[in-house]
Parts: sequence; C-alpha cells; structure tokens
Amino acid sequence: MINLALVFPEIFLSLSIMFLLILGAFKKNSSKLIQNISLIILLITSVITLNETLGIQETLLFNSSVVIDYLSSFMKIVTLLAAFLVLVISSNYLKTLKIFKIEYPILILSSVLGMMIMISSNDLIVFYMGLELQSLALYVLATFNRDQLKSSEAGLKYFVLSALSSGLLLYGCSLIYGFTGSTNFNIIANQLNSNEYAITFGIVFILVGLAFKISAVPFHMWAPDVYEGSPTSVTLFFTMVPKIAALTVFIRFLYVPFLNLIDQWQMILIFLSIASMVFGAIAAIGQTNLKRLIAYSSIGHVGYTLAGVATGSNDGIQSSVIYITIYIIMNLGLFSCLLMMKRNNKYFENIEDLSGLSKNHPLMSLSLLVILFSLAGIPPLAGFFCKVLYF
Amino acid sequence: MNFPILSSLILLPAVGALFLFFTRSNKENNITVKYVALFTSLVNFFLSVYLWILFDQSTSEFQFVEDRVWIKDLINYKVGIDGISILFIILTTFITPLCIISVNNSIKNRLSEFLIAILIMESFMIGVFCSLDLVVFYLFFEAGLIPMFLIIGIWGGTRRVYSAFKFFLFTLLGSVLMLIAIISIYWISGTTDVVQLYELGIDAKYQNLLWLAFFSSFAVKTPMWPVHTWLPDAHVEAPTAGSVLLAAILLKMAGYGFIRFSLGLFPVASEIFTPLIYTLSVIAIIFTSLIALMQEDMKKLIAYSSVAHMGFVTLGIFTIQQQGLEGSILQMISHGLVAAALFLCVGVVYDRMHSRLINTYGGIVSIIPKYSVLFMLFTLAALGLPGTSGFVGEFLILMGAFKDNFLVAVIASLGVIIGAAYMLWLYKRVVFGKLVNSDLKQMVDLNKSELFILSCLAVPTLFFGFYPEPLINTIEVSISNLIKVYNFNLISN
Amino acid sequence: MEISIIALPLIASIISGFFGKFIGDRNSEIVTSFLVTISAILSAIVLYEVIINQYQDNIVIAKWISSGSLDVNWSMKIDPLSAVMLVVVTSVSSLVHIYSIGYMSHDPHKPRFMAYLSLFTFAMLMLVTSDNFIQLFFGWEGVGLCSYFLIGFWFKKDTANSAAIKAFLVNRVGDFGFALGIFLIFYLFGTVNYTEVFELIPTIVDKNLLFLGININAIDLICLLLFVGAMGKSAQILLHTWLPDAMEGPTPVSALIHAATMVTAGVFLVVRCSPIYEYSELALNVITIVGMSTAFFAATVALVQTDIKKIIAYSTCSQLGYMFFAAGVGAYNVAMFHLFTHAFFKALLFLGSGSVIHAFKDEQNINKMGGVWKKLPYTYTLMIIGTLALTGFPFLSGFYSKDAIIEFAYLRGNTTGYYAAGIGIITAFLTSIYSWRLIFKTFHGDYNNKNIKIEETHESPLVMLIPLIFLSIGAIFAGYTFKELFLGYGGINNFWQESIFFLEPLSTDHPPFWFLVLTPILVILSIPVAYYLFVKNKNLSNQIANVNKPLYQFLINKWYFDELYDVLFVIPSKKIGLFLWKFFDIKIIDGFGPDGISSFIKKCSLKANKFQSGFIYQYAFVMLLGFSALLTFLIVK
Repeated sequence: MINLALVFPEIFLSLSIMFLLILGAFKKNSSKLIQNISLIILLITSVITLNETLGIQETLLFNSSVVIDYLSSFMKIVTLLAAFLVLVISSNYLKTLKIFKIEYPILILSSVLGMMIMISSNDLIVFYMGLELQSLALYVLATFNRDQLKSSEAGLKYFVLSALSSGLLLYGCSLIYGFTGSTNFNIIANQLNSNEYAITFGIVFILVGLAFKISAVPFHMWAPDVYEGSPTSVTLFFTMVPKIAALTVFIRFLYVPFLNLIDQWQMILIFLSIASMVFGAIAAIGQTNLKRLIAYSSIGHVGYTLAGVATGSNDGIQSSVIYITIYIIMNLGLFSCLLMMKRNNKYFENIEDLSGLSKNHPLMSLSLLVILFSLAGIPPLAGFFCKVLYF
Repeated sequence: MNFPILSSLILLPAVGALFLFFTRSNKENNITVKYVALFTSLVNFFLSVYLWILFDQSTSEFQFVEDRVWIKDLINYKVGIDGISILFIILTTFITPLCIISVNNSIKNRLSEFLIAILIMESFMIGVFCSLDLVVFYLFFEAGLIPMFLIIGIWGGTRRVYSAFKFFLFTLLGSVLMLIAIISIYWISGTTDVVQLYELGIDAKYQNLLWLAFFSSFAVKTPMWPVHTWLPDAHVEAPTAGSVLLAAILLKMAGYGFIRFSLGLFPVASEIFTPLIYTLSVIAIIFTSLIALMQEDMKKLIAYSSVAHMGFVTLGIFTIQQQGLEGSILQMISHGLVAAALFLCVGVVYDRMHSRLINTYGGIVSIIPKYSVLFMLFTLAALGLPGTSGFVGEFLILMGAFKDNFLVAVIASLGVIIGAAYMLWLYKRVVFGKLVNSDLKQMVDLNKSELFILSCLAVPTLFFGFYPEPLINTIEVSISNLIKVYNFNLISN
Repeated sequence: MEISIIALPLIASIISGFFGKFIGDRNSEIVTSFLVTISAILSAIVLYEVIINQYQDNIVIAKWISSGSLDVNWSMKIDPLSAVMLVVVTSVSSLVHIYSIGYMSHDPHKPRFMAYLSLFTFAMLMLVTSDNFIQLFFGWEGVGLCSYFLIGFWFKKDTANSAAIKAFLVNRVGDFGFALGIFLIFYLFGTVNYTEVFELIPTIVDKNLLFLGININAIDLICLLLFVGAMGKSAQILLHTWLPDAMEGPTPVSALIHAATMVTAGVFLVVRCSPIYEYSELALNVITIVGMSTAFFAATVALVQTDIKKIIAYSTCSQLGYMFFAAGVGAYNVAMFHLFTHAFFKALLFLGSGSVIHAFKDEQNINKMGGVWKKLPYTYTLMIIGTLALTGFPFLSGFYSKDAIIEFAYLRGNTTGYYAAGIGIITAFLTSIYSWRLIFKTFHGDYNNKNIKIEETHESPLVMLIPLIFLSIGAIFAGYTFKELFLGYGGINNFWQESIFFLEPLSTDHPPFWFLVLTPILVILSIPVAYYLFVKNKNLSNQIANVNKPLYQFLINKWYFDELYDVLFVIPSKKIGLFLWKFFDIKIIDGFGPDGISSFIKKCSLKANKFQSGFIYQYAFVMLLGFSALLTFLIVK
C-alpha cells in the first residue's frame, strides 16, 4: 500500500477537482469560494508532496511506470506554487474582464494534475496521458475569454497545432514501442540498439512533440498568437507552468532511455536551443505588443533552458532546473506588474502604453526595470546567475 | 585586520542609497536628501583617505584582504588592494561628493533617484577597483552600467534613449565575451581568485583567446578606437554629473582592468598583442584629436579628447615600462580630475545659457572672469602643460613608449600638438573675442558651490603637477613588481 | 638667496594675479616691479660672485618626478652660463616692468598684465637655472604659456587671439622635437640630468640608431631633435612664423619676451648642450645653415615691412640667426655674447618703438609717421643708439659681438664657415639698411599722419624713459666692458669654466685686416645710402619696388610661409578631422556598428514577424518542415 501513499498528492488533487466540479455545479455564484478552495488545495498538495519526498530515494511504482524522486518532487512543487501564484495574481484581472468563473481554477487544477503525472511518468503511455490531460485543460483556458474573437482564435489554433504535434508524438511512441517491445523507459533503455534508424525516428518524433509544448523554434509558431490572444492571466500560466512539466519530461526521456544515444539527440537539442535563443531575441526586438514580446522572450529563455539539457551532464540539468525556476520567478514579477497596470480600466498591451509609467508609478517602474534587466541577464541580478551557471 | 574597511567602502554608499530610497524626495526635502547623499559620500571619502594613510607603500602584496565564501567552491567574495587600486578608489570617493554638490541646478526632477544612482554607482566602482575575484570583478564591472544607463536614459537630453542604448549595447557586447573568458578560466584553472591565478599562471596556449575576450570588454569601456563612438553620444546626452562620473571614473575601469588582468594574467598574449594596442592607441590619439578639432559641441569635443587621452593610457600600459605604466596611472588620475572639471565647466555655462554649442559663446571672459581663469587652468592641464598633472602622465607615457618603440612614440607625440590646437581653439572661441551675443551679458559668474567644486579639482591638478611624488610612491612598488612578474612569466613560458 | 631670485617673481605674480583686485592697480605695479628688481639685484650679485670667486652650485629644491630610473628634481644650477642668463633675464625684466607702468597706464587690466610679466620671469628663470632637461622643458613650456597669455592679452582682438594660439602651436611643434630629444636622451642614458648626461656622451660616440627607418648616429639625432625645439622657441626659419604675429601683444611684452629673453632660450639650449653638440659635426653644420638662412631671410623681409614692430621682430629673428650660426661654428661663447648685448639693444629698440607708438596713439605703420624727431628728442636719441648698436656701428655693443661672430665663422675654415661669414656680412649690410629705413621713415621726412596732428604727439613720461636710458647704457657699453670676459681673448681668463665645452679650443688667429674692417665700413656706408633712399629720393625706392614687383611681393608676403603652412597643415588637418568624424565615425563605424546592427536586427525582426502570418496551415507547414529537416539531418549523419 506504500505505492498509493506516494501518489497521494495526485490522488488528493484529482479528488479535489471532482469535488470542486460538483460544488460549482450545485452552488450558484460560488466562483470566489472555489477560487479560494483551489488555492488551499494547491497549497496542501504541495505540502503533501514536500512531505512525502523527505527521506525517499528514487522509487518506482505501478510496474515501474511512475517514478518518484527528488527531481519530480521539486518540479511538482514548483509547478504547484507557480499555479498558486498565477491564481492569486489573476483573480483581479478576471474580475475586471468579467470572466471570473468557477471553471477557471478548476481548469488550472486539472492541467496541473496532468503536469504532475507528466513529471512523474516513467512510461510513454503515462506520459502521454498526462500530456493530454494538461493540454485539454489548456485549450479551454486559451479560449477562456470566449466572447473575444482573438481568444477563441487562439484556443483553436492551439488546439489544431497541438493535435498535430500530439500525433507526431504518438507516432514516435509507437515506433519506439515497435522496436523495443516496451513503453517503459527503463526497459527501453535495456533493449536499445542504437543502430536502428527507427529508434532515431522515434526519438525525433517525440522530441518534436515536446519541442512544440515548450515552444522551441521552429515549433514555436503558435506561441505568439496564442499568448497574445489568451487572457493575460492565462498567458502567464502558458509562459511558465507547462514548460516546467515539459522540461522534466525532456530530461527524463532523454536521460533515462536514450542517454546512450546522446550523439544523436545532442545535435538536435543544440540546434533547437540556439535557434530559439537567436530567433526569440531577434523577433522580440521588433515587437510592439507586450504579450507577443513576452512570447518571444520566453522562446529565447526556452533556448537557454534546452542548452542545459543538451550538455548531457548532471551540471547541465541542474542549471536547467535552476534556470527555469528563476525564470518563473521573474515572469511572475513581470506579469504581476503588467496586471497591476491599467488605464481607464484597460490593461496595457502595447509598449507605448508603458511610456511615462515612471512618472505615475515610480516604484512599480523601478521593479519592472529590475525584472527586465534580470530577464536580459544583466548582473548582479538573478537572471544573470542562471546564465553564469550554464557554463 | 579586523575591521572590513574595504567592504565598508563598498557598502556605505549603498546604505546611503537605501536610506534615500525611503525618504522620498519632494520639493521640501530636496535639501535634506542632498545632504544625506553628500554626507554618505564624504564619510566614504574620509574613510578612503584613512585607508591611504594605513596603506603600506613598501609592499606589493594585496592588503586589507577580505575573503568570504559566496557560492561554495565556486565564487569567493574576495577584495583587497595594492598600490594600483588604492588611487582609483580615492579618485572615486573624491569625485563622487563633488558630483553630488554639482547637481544643484541641473537636475530638476527626481533628485533623490538621481542621487541614489550616483551612490550605487560609487559602490560598484569601488567594488571594481578592489575585487580580487574575477567573477566579483565582473559583477561590479557590469553592474556599473546600470546606474549609468539610467542616468543617461532618464535625466539625459533630447536623444537620450538613443545614446543610452548605444552605450548599453556597446558595453554589453564586449562584456559578454569577457564573461565567457572568465568562465573558461574557471574551467582551465579551477579558480577565479586573482591572487591564486597570479601564482598559477595560465597556460600560454589559452592566453590569446582569453586576452582577446578581456580586451573586447576593456576596449569598449576605455574606449579605444574604433569602438569609441558611444562615448561622445553618451556624454552629450548625459547630465553634467553623469558626464563627470563617466569621464572621471567609468573610463578608468578599463585601464585598471588592462593593468590588473590583461598584463597580470596573460603576459604572453599581452606581448603578442602589444602591436595591436599600439596601433589602436596611436590611431585613437591622432584620429580623435583631429575629430575633436572640428567639433561644434563643447561636450563632444571634450568627449573626443577623452578618447585621445585614453589612447595615451593604453599606449603607456602596454609599454610594460616603469615609466609608461606609472605614467598611465597618473594620466588616468589626472584625466579623472581634468575631464571631470572640463565637463563641469561646460555644465556651468550650459546651466546659464542652455546651449553646448561653441558658437553660442564668445567674449565671456570679462563677464565671468573667475570661470574663465579656472577653465583656462583645466584647458592647460588637458593639453599637458608642465606644472599640471596632465603633463607628468603624458610625458612619462611617451618616455616609456619611446623606450619600447620609436615610431609609436613619435606619432603619439604629434597628438600632443593637435591636443593643444583643439583645446586652445575651443577656449578662444568660447571665452575670448568679442561678445557675440547680448544674452551673454546676463551670465553670472561662478556661485560658491561651483567655485568650490572647481577649486577642489584645480588644487590636486596643480599640486600633482608640481609634486606627483605621493602618487608615484604609492604605485611604485606594485608597478615594479608587476613588471618583474610579467617578465618572469614571459621567460618561463 | 639664490632661490629667492626665482621665488620673488613667482610671489609677485601670485600677489598681482590673485590679489590685484584687493591691493589696487598701482600697488600691484609697484609690488611686481619692486620684487623683480630685487631679484635682478640679487642676480647681479650672483654673477659677481661667479666672476670673482668662480662660485658654482647646484641647489636641489624638491623632488619632482621619480619613476624607475628617472629621477627629476626641482633644482637650481648656478654656473657662469646660468648666471649670465639670470642677469639678462632679471634686468631686462625689471626694466620692462617699470616701463609697463607708463605704457599700460590706460589699460583696465594692469594687475593681470603685471602678473603675467612676473610669471614669465619666473618661468624663464626656471628654464635657465634647471639642472636637468625636464625642468628645462617645464620652463620652456612655461614661457611659451606666458607668451601665449601676453600675446593674447587684448583678448577682444581676434588677431591677437589667433596670434597667441599660433605662437603656442608653432612652439609646440618645436617642443615635439625637443621632447623626443629628451626621450632619446633618457632612452640612451637612463637619466636626464645635465652632468650625468654630459659625462656619458663620449661613451656613445659611435653608436648608431635605427630611427624611423633611418640609420643615424645617436648623438647627431639627439642634437637635431633638440635643435628642432630650439628652432621653435627662437623662431628660426620654418618655425619662425609665429614671431612677427606675436607683435599683436603689448610692446613691453615684445621687448621682454620676443626680443630679449624667451626667444633666446633656443640659443641658450644649444650652448647649454655644447658638450653634446661638440660631438656632432652634422648638427653643427645644420645649425649654421639654419642660422644663416634665418638671418638672411628675416633681413630681406624686414626691408619691406611697414609695421614698426614687425620690422624689429624680423630683425630679432635675423639676429637670432646670427647667434645660431655662431653656435654652429662652435663659438658658443660668442653666441652668448651676442645674446647678452642683443638683449639690451633690442629691448631698447622695442621699448623705443613702444614710445613712438605711444606718441602716435597706437599707430604702428611707419608710412604714417615721419618728421617728429624734434618732438620726441629723447626717444629719437635712444632709438638712434639702439639702431647704431644693432647695426654694429663701431665701438657700440653690437659691433663687438656681431663682428666676433663673423670672424669666428671665417676662422672656422670650412665651407659652411665661409658661407656663413659671407652671408653674415651681407646680412649686416641689410640690417643696417632696414634699421635706418625705420629711423628715417619714423623720425625724418614729412609728417604723414592724418589722424592726429603733429602737435598732439608727445614725448613719453619719465617712467618710460628711465628704463630706456638704462638699456641704452647697456647698448653702448656692454660690448666693450664684457668683451674680455665673454670672449676671453688670449686665454687669460676662463670665465665659462665647464659650462661651455669645447672639444678643441677655439682658434686664436685673427682674420686678415681687410676682413675685419669690411663689415664696419659697409655698415657706416649704409647710413647715407638709406638716407638717400628713404628721405631724399623716395621715388627711387618706390621705383625699385615697382621694377622688381614679383620680388617685392615675395618679400612683403614674407616668402609666403604662412600661406604655405595653411595649405600644407592647417586646412588639411581640418578637412581630415571633418572627414574622420562625418564619414569614418558616423558613416562607417556607427553605420556598420551599432546603428547598422540595430537596423539590421530590426529588419530581421520585421521579417520574422511577417513570417508569423496567423494562418494555421502555414504554422503546421513550418512545423513539419522543421521536423523533416531534423530527420534528414540525422539520417544523413
């Protein structure tokens, strides 16, 4: 029964989601209540996760299809806390836009659940299940402001392209299964015969799917449109949380079954990483829309994160993880500034809106400045340290 | 050595800045804010003078060393000074209070933020000059960009955004390479501690690339030709106090970096690249002097002359001669005083007439005589007249250069002639002649604080011109040791 | 006592410069004149000591620069050479100070003027008493600076300002050579101290250097470089252009700086470095040639000038040429002797011309004067004395020194020597002509000034005349009195001791008698000639000018040196500067640098954004494209 105890956070979360759904369906005007409960749930989940991690070595559960280790726990906690903060920040925004509905926290919770599953997965099927769960929730989140054309368009685009990438991903999974006879990462690792082209094909298919999720160039095309179209609070969620999960899968997928094939995938990753850094930076410069700008900057940051993974060493992974954590903190800061700024009840979307900010909100402009400098990686701010750590 | 005097020097202005941060400035407490800033910087100045008194001139070892673990096994917060650094620290702490006094008229809005920027800048600059760990150095070195960027970007003139970004991009590009080099050094040697690196030495085969990476950063900051074009723009747009800081201190970081790191860590590469430095320095001296001759904007002219003067500095550093190196340091100190004073002089007339164009002025000598006298003094110091500090540095540099390479010294000496031409011509057009503009009659002469600032700069300019011994004695041992180690490393590699 | 000679003028300058406002005009005049006069008296005592007791000393005042092996002190070297210079400088200076009280009586900036004069005296004293090259350089630039201040004293006059800058810059060109010379000395000997350098000179006689691609003897190179500095300061041909322009300054300045003291610094330098020059045949020949060219060139130009001060300025230039070729033929003591006498009579001439200008209310054109010798009897007499002394009229001071120069040139016995002697005689004749032209045009003939009536011209006040009288005494008797001492005929006294070095003792022969009397005869003959040309028959001189129009133009435009330099240096450097700035910095560096890169990136960015069309099928296509690319890459690999 120890098995179940270790997945208790996931169980708790899914039960809570169901409970909230029922609560929302039967109780009118319960959005505020549900929001608050969700917050509590997220906190509790993270506490449980933290609690169970202490003193636990790497443990495989359910026929080795789920893995619990420090990496997974850490990533889960980051995910949960990030989601928590997103919820906190977004409530005001949602109220202003009049889309403060019960679905919002529930959707976020479900996608978080999907991510947690992804993070813990040690099996292609489990991984795919988690991925789809979180994606489904995200599709809906993107269209959350459904009265707005752009928001719906964003959701649709995301859905269609995501389906395409899922297809590729699944195809890759089946290829790998076909040639190794298993979907379990550890078994795959043992069965591996590097001379098989098909394995390589499979890896590429899966990598492409994953790259889509974290919007690495050239599979990033959806990101600017979706980021721009979605409500800002959702954009915030998009820029951070799914990336944590996807990164974890990247790490696990590449390092557990395919570490021996490092020659094959390293080049791909380096390409993805450099392309993302360069393209993200270049495209960001010409942007006037803040959200698009952030989209491109997040593409750039994904590039840096991937660079850590590409090194194929423990240090690299460590720095990737630290990098993404700090990136999340910075993004949270940036968005909370953005969400605090509005003029005539309209939120800022364009860079011009920002001009003159320093006159009206000096303190905020200062913090914004610090965050932006940090994002640009100027010492002595945190963003710089992540960059230093890479090398 | 119990009292962490260097850390106090670094932290004190930051504490002052923090204090200011919580006392919001408005019309009423502007004076208070200024006094707080002034008080902080003055305390720092006296602390640094005290440091100089404690300083032992007879050894080339680093003194007042503090070593604390920052990130375990990776970065140590290590600071310490030798004869080379201490002068720069004192220059920094000396110029900053003067800057703070000078903001009287020029900065109208957001005074307290401006002072915060200046104080933070002081912190960082002192950090640069005393850090003994490459990463710490790099942090301070780059962090200095931010306050300067803000000073230009927020309180600058009409094209401030363009200038600020030009400044930022130029310097950032160079620094990225230096960062990579520092990381590589860590991989190669396993430490970023400068003292240990001095002892270990760096394998000759890596030196060239590392040297170039450091060079790219220092060259931009110096600035050397052809990456100097950010400087005139930055100066023109920056408010007076910003220009002063930029010219007096910020530019010196690179010269200091060359001495401390390029020579200290990469002697083999320095030897190889000396011709490159010579060429660029000489080009800087001649080209930018000629350009300065044709400027119509006073600040631009002085900015270009700064480039030429820094050309002398880089030239002197890479002569690897006692005279050349000591001359370079003296020249940097002197340029710190003189360029600061010249920018203040421009600031003085700018505050009154709101124009930096030379042809706005003319014939003001009889209207503002005190100003004219001081301006003359600094003009003369800028053109290196014997008896001013400018002469000692320039002469020693050329002497050192002559020992090493005739041609370079001859061409560089030509720069001295052009230097005299543009400075005197500037002075003539601004101060002498007939009164060109009846508005000029309304100009008032220096007020007390301006007079005080300029006199504060004039006294050391003259004093070190006649008696530079205190400076030379301070650096003598460190420099001769540096040369000794340099030559030893050169032979052993 | 020795130090106070230097310190007093400095103190005077500080008092007058900084506190002039508080103590008043009259007091600052008195203070400066008084202190400089004391300094002059002290110098005279020092010279006396040196003559009688062979007193020599080297006083170290303070350390200046010590860097590695370089060790430079603020110091004061007393030897016969510096003692003579001390006397010349302080005595002329004190007389000029006193004279200025009268001359500048209408000027609103008297304390400033007096401060500059005293400061100049200080710098000049630093120059002559230095015991090393760098302090010499300090004084060298210091006097240049004061000269800059004083030429531009009337700062409202644009020409004065330009002239001041020109003087400073041309001097800088000379200093450039001088500085290189010092660097070379330091490079070779590791010291810049006179005594040490002079001791080491014989050790490098055969040393050759590769300098800028030329293989040259080290000593020759040192000498030539130092001489470039001397040329700048002493306004020798090629670097002379600043001196005539410098006459924009007040006349006392011209007398002190541009006649008696500063311009002779170059000669002093060569004499001081005689231990080096003696080893360089090449440099001595160059000096001789430059000296005689200058003497001749300046004399020809002086013939046609109409500005009274410019005539005297060119005359100074010419006399400096004499001094140089004396040094060039190895007769350093003779050069010093001429320097000494010249200081008196040239200062006399300048101050006299100042008196004339004063009388004519700031008129300097000699064509607008004339016929006033009865109105200005003292000035007239004194000017005559000056002119006689300058032209070398027998038994006045110029006679002894100038004739000695020509004789020694002749006695040198080589080609350059004979040439120099020949040119010297011709120039002496020309000198006489233009000097008398000046006198006749100014004081004789008809009264030509239309602005002020002849009755309004007036003699100068006593305070101006007394210094003139002192100077005229010097002009008359200095030659005769000091001839024995300076030239030491018969070797009875060794006044100069070690301060002047002769590799071989000077020839004690006498040139033939006809040669000795040739110059005086020419000089005396020229007086009636000039009288005929410029008073009796003015048409003749005009006709001569008309017939030789090109030559006349050539002379009146000063051999077109200014125009040449404009074309060669001034205009090109401005153009190059503009080009480097507008084209190189802005177009190329910025264009390809920050501006270029940022606009390039902006363009890329726009492209990248256009790429983002918003159509799903395109996005999908790009994804698949990327996917296939990765796949292909792996397969190919």
